[in-house]
Amino acid sequence: MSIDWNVFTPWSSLAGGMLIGLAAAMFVLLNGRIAGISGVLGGLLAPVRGDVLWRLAFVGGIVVAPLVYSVFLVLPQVQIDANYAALIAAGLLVGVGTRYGAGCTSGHGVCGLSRLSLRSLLATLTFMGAGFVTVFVLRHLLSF
Amino acid sequence: MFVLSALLSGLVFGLGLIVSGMANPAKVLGFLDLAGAWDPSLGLVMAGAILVGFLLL
Repeated sequence: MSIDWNVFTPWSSLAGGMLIGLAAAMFVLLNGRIAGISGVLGGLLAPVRGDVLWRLAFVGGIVVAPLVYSVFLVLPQVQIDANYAALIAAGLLVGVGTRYGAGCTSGHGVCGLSRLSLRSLLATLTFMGAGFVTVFVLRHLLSF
Repeated sequence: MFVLSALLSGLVFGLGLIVSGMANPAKVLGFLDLAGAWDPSLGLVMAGAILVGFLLL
């Protein structure tokens, strides 16, 4: 393992992480909900009356964030190497995985770990571990 | 009220994703690629988020 110091962004990543933690805490304190993005989004696919607007608002907030950011600062470059077919397949796999795991990086990784949940710790270790293995197999064994 | 606070929470969350660099899939992959040129940034995102979440909740 060697750290790529050219791309490592410790301070902005720490600051951005703190914003994410703040957002997750706001959501719990103001809305009484766990800010699990996969769960909030998934709830829109099987809409329940009176349970739709806050989901749309939360997801809408995330979607307009780049617009708001770009009013004040230049948006950072985004690099996506996969084609659309791969992105759609990957998105579906993420959806299936987060349902099976009952949460994603935001729900388990941020909210769950902030609340010192053992379940979330196991979930986070498992999906991070699976992510490490998947990238190793795809990049270094199959050289995608 | 709940709609407004949800919108604000989502907005702050999204801004956090951009500031942290996690809106860029290449940085997430860089964290998961332990055998390549490793980018530990995502670890610091988690650390910052959990620290603030832990203190506020």
